[in-house]
Amino acid sequence: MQPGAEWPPELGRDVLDHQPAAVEGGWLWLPRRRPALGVQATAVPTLLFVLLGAALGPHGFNILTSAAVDHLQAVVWVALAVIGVFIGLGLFAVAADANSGIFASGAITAAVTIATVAGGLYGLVRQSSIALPVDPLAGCILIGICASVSAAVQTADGASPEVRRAARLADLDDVPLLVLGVTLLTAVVGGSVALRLLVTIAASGAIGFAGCLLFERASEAERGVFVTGAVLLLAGIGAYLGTSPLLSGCVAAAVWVRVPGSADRISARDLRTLQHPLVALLLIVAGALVEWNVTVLWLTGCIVILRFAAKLLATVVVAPLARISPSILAVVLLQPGIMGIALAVSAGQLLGDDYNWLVSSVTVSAVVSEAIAAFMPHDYEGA
Amino acid sequence: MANPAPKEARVSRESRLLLITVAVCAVVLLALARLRFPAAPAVHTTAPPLERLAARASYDALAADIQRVEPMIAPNFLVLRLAPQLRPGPHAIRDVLARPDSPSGVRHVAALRISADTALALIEEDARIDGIVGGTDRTGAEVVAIDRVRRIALVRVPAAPVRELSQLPLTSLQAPVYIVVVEGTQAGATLRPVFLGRGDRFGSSRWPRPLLPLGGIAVAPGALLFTLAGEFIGTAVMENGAPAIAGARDVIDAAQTLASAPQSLPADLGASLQPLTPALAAALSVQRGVVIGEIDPAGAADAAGLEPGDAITAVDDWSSDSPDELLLRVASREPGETVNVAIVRNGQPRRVSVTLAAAKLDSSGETATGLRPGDVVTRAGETNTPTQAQLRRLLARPTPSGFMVLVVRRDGRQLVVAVPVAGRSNATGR
Amino acid sequence: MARFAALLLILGAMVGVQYAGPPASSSTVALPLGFALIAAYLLGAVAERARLPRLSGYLVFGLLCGPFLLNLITATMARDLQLVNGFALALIALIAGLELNFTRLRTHLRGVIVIGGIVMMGSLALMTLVLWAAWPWLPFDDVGAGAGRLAAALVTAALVVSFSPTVTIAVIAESRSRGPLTELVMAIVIMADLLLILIFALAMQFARWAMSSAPADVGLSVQLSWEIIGSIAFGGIIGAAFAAYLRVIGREITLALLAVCALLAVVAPLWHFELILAALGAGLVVENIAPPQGDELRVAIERGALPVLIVFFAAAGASLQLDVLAVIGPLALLLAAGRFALIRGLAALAVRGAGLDDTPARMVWMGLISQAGVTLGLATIVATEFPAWGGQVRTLVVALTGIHVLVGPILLKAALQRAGEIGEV
Repeated sequence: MQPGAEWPPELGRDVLDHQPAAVEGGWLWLPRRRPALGVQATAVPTLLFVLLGAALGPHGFNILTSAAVDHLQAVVWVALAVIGVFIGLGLFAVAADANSGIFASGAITAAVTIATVAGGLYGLVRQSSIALPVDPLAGCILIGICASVSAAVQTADGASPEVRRAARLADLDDVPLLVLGVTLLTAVVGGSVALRLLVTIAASGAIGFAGCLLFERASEAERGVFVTGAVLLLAGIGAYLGTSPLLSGCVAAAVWVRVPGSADRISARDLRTLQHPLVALLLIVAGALVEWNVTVLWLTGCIVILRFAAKLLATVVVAPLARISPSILAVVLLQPGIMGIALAVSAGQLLGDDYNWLVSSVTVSAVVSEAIAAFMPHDYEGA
Repeated sequence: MANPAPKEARVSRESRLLLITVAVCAVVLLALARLRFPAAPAVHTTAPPLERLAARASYDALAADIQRVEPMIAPNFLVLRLAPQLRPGPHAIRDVLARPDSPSGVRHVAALRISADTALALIEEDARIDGIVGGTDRTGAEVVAIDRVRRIALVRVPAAPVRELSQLPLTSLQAPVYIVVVEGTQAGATLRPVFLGRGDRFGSSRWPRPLLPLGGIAVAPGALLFTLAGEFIGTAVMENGAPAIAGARDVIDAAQTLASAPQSLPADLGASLQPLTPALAAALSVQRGVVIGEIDPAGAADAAGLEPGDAITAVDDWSSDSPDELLLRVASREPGETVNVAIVRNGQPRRVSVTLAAAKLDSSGETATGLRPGDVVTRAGETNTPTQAQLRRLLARPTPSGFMVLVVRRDGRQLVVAVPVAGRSNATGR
Repeated sequence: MARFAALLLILGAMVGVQYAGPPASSSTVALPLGFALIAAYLLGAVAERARLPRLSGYLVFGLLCGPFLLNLITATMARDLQLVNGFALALIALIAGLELNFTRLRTHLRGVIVIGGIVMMGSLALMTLVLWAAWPWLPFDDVGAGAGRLAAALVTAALVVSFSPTVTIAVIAESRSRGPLTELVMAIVIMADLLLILIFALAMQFARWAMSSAPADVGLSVQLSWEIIGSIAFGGIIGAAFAAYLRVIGREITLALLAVCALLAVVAPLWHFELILAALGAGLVVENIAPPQGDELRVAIERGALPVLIVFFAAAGASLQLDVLAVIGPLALLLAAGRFALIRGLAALAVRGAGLDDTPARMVWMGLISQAGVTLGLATIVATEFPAWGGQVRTLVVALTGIHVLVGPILLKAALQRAGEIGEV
């Protein structure tokens, strides 16, 4: 999966394809070669699609009505499952050379970030007159988790070990956040948390193993059916049990990576064709769900500032431990990526319209953080 | 799939065929669509007046109009409190529950003052005026006369100064327009603006002049209608189950007729009518009209020589297939008037002049005492199951009140009746 | 063995998920969809090994996992799965249109008209007579003795004898069959579908008159013209646009094909078009006016049709009402046997009458047994308009459809195999 690899010819040029020349000195907020975890360069212009969604959505021109957004729910589940699969593929792909030190650093990064964002936000909420429609502590922790994730960076082939370590750390710090986020989400949905988490992991694992048995031996046409079916099952499991398809996708991908065979490569290749349109759709739906009110704007401002501060603080704390230059680490950690939005949309889908404020504030803050990060010097790529 | 031919020629030929296909299909679709989905009929463009109206009649402007018109018309109406006459028979819980409607309660109806001490209101015959809203306990109102056909009642009310009322004929009312509706409530009269849409008037059997439909507007029957300038338009009535406006002139005329002849009864042909079934129509060789079923021996139809089996095709050149409508139309005339009745007898058309008589509105057959033939007296005073002789003796004995209470059985139910006795005695019974 | 293990793992996952409690989200269509895709496909492969049509495997999957047996696909999920129905019908009819080449069809035209006409009209007449005579003993409400009974018998007969183009075309598509029998059967069922619309509309009009129910507000001929000619014209426009796209752009053909089917599925019901005829018209235009070069369209169809057919027939299987079969099963079986005999006998007569004595023509009757959703849809219309006896007839049709949808594909596949027209997978 090389950054420069072409799309399969029968699908034509992808609208998100771009040239690296446009990045240097070009319009920094346009599609950059900043791929999602561990996969083909899939620069996701978050800003573009979120704004499109906001314009088309019920709070904009209402071309995408509330009813239409509801109908897209099923597709959003699938998008989340696909993102979860790619997260899992990226996380576990290089687990063989996983450095426990890096993992610990990642965990510390996550802890510092979430404590700063959630704690700071909680303090501000208590001091202000802003009233969250849910328990402030739970709400702030949820926001903190969604806002704390950072995008992973695909390093160029000639990159230094330091850059690679930074990229790996940015991947790994999302693991505890993802686990915490999904657990909290499951708890808020209600019912037996432990049972549903266990069943999710078990069922997703079973789907993963089934995939290993089916994918490799299948013909071209059959493979399409099996991979699509597996992703739909993963999406359905997460939706049915209220534990988010991000988790189920991640677990299944872990199985595909770990079990000997080429299930991981087959699923990655087949899902890549769906990845772009689904992620774009997810961002459009997130934009459509954004509500513009005082609470959201206030939360957005706080999140952006707190997140920025948290990432810098985490850099200061972790850089010496991981033996990474603070400037490199800071730039890598600051980029928000789409996982936060994915987690927030997941929460919104499961918990209903009452949590639109969560989706709105996380989405808008991710867009703003993306814009800020775009202006940061990014000399790591050539390092 | 077909074998490929020279590419360029094939492309242009196929492109042409595709275009032709699209064109033909589009034409066929359009033609069929015109037939399948016929165009809606043209609607009157009332947009400009509505726009003007909408621009003018904002909520605040209407409220101001109501405030302005109220003092102009307030002296001319009052609110009567009505309770229906109680049924004299026994009331048990099963009777109450068996009735489809809820227990009859108090109603409030607006009444229009036509003179200092007289008002007119839409009241049913069996309604009882309980009082006047806003009046003292001693202020009462009583029904002086009732027009049973139009259900208008002339009511004597406590005297009060009344303003000269200007009227607006229905023909002069420029709809669509906002009008003021005065309705009666427990707290007195309520005035509200109601939007009257454009509509054509329609003829009614009860009223001499055509009525204006109120459409879907919920207006209580008997409500008084005024313009925003305070002119009296008419009264809301129910015609064939739908609300309509009876014009001011008709309403005032009816009230004045009642005032001049309070005991007047509706006119009647003195015959019962039947609708024309297909079989009757064939047998009588008649297309439209009604058939006379029974003739009252002392009635107007008998005097004019009409017979059962005659088909009435028109009364004063007015035809109807509905016996009720025809009867109502006749009833709205005065007893003593002559009408021209077109009939068909044995297939031969004829014209007969009939001088209308007053209708005989029969009672339930009760005597003045409240007893009916067939009642079984089970108790008279304190005597159980009196014999005929005992009953005669008891009725001949005076009582302090001048009445004696009888317990009777009628149609399987038991009820209590007070009958007058021979006279009143003093307290000691002498 | 590996596939069997995979199936067990997936079954286990489904059981575990449903055991964990009621769904947390209102939108759970992804779960049964994914389950149906994989498990139904595997069962279809098993069916193919047993020389049965794949879609019998899909149907059996739906039946086994449906609400009446294992309930892994609950009634709500079965209803959700049917969301693809319109789309699937459009795709199947589009495939049928793409298979019907007028030049090749000209050689069979006489046979198609004679066989289709005799079988359809003959079965209709005889079945009407039987139902009319037996009506008092049937578990249907009394409809009087005169015109009312005749009308009810006619409407019921029209439903009972109808053929299903959907199942027939699906079997032909999934077995990639080519040959004279294939073309004959396809043409006959499509012609019969056209005839059914006409006959059903006329029968309903007769029933309305006979039972004095509210008449239709638009003239019958206008309505029929719109439904038949209008649908084909509409499909023609869509087909022409699709053909132009294939020639001029020619990329992302699978997506474009699916988009055309989606467009047909959404727009046709809105404008009161007959979806099958519209999609058929689209396919006919593409195949006969501007046939695409190369195999891209065929590949796109295979790629796009497979998951759609799996879900469609799995959903059909899950929606089969076994409780109805238990109630009215014996009568349904009797009628099914009667229908079978009628079709077989009349087809033999028609084949001789058309002068076609070759083997493919003699096996044509095996392709005329299937019944599916179209018949059910018409039965629902009858039940809505005549709630008393119509509802009871609908119950019977549900049972009949259940029998024929299981038996029909097996017979057709056997016929295609015997005729040697099955394509290579």
